Amino acid sequence: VTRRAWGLLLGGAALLAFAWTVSWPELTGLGAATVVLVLTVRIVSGPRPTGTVHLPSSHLQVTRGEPACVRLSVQLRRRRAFLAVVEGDPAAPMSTARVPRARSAELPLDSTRRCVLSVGPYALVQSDPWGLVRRVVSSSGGGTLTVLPRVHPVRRELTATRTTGDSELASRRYGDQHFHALRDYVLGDEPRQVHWRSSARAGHLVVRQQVAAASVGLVVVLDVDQGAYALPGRFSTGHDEARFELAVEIAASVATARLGSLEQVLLLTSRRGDTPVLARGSSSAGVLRALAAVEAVPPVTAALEELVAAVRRASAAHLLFVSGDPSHRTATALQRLARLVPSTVVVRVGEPAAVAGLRGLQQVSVRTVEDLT
Amino acid sequence: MHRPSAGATTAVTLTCLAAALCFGGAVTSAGLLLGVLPSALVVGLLSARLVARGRPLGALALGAGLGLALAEAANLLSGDTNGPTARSTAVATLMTALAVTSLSRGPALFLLPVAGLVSAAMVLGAAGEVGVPVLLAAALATWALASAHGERQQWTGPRTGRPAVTILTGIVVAAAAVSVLAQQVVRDEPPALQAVGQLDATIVPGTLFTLPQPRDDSPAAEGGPPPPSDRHVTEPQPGGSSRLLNFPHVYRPPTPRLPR
Repeated sequence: VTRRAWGLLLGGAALLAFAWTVSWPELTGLGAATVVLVLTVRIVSGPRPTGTVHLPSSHLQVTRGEPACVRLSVQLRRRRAFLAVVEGDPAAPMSTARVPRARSAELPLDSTRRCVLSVGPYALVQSDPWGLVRRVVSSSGGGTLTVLPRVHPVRRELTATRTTGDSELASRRYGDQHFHALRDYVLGDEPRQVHWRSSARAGHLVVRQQVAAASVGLVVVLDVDQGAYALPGRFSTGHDEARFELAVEIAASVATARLGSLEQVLLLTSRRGDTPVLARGSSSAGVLRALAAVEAVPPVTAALEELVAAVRRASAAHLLFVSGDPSHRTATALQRLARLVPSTVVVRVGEPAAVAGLRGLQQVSVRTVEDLT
Repeated sequence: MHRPSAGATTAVTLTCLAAALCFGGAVTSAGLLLGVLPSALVVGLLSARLVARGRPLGALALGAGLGLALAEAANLLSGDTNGPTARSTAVATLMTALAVTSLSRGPALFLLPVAGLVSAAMVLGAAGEVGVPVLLAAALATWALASAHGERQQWTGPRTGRPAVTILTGIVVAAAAVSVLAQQVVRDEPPALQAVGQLDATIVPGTLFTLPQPRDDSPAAEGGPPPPSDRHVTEPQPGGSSRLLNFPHVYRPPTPRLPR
């Protein structure tokens, strides 16, 4: 019996006694009604019911925008009145659903926003419509809900094709060296790279053109700087969440499409201290889970220059930088990344504005997801 | 701070209007229909809008201020011949605003202003005369409490206990009616007077407001002298025995001439 019931019972009894003393039948009626309500609800509730509620899976995944619900298995020995399944504190539930005659109850989940959040705990509760009697019959632990970003089909080739100039640049990179071809000597080449036997045969100096082994096929860098997704308007503050969401979906779509062609994909964000996520094979679950938790951060928390070491270690063949309107600091750091990975493409999301620091880099504009196809 | 929905505030406002019908035993029908009920309705609706926007204190201030203004207007219009219309209007509006505002704190707190409304009507002279409005108020209060509590449960589908609300409301109303009639039979005493000298014997509530009288087996009913009226009008004292009588617009019965 809740405190509300005790309050109503005592208040009603006091009103009844007072009204009886002063012979006011109207107040007597109110007091009697209150007392009868509490007693009747207690009688109708009956003895304590027995049963269990169980959450079969504690890790739930759903794509953003798709209808989702958590399904709980409920077992009751005998049906009683006023039974319901509640999420959260039974005294102040976040949501409540009635217990159906089937052995499972469903509670809808909010999948409108991409996120990783905890759901539950859940409880089987007997609670009357007035909140006078509340009994927790059984309870179950909660779980984790991951709302993944939407993935769109990518038919358009966003990464750049490699040119001879790119391979010449690649031959000067550090890391694992692999023979690629022979070419004429140009000023600045290392003398150690001269292939003397071929030079003697050709009559002029020929050097070995070498490339670093690309351990990662594609590096996707997502710019999470809020300033890159600023709302239109000169004096506007805040960032355009829809534009950032589109950037996340583009990163997810490209990574998933590349994983389909059995490449290794490394996902990085420009957030300071963020952990890189490497996905290989055909499973994009790791990348999508990482993108589910990505949020736009203030400019002071973003540091693209810290990614140089990670990109160098990756020895990637392609780098895809997804952003809106990157800041000057980000553009400067991006130029350094482009020297490490010649096949660098900047994907500008939404309505792009002119950014001076991106000069010389290949840019692709994606206004909507339809532009990916 | 909870923001009650329109359904819950409407249910509470209707409950307060039903409880305000109890003033029908203290003021004339004109005072009730033109002063008390419209004022309570207006204040209830405006308070509900403010509470829904998360401004309960503003709703309370509006209820107090507007209630006093409407009471003053009712005082000017009703004059001395409609009973304590101004005080009834002030109490009804203030209690209605309190009831609607309290929904943001707790679902059951509105029952206190509702009981206060009925008590105020009793104090102002309606005791023992308005049984039906109390039954109506009890039924609506039961429904409003279920509505306010169900809203806080945040149901994601059909609610449980909908038939129970209807059945138990009927049981509660029946219990209230039985207790009203039982008091008249078992404890056959006139209602106590709290505001001496303010009753007007000419003000009688409509027949719809009164419950059927229980059968009277007393000897007076079998041809004896007529039973005393339910209304116990106290002979007013010169100068009044209540501080309220000093208020200039309060109804004052004519001062009887004392024999020399």
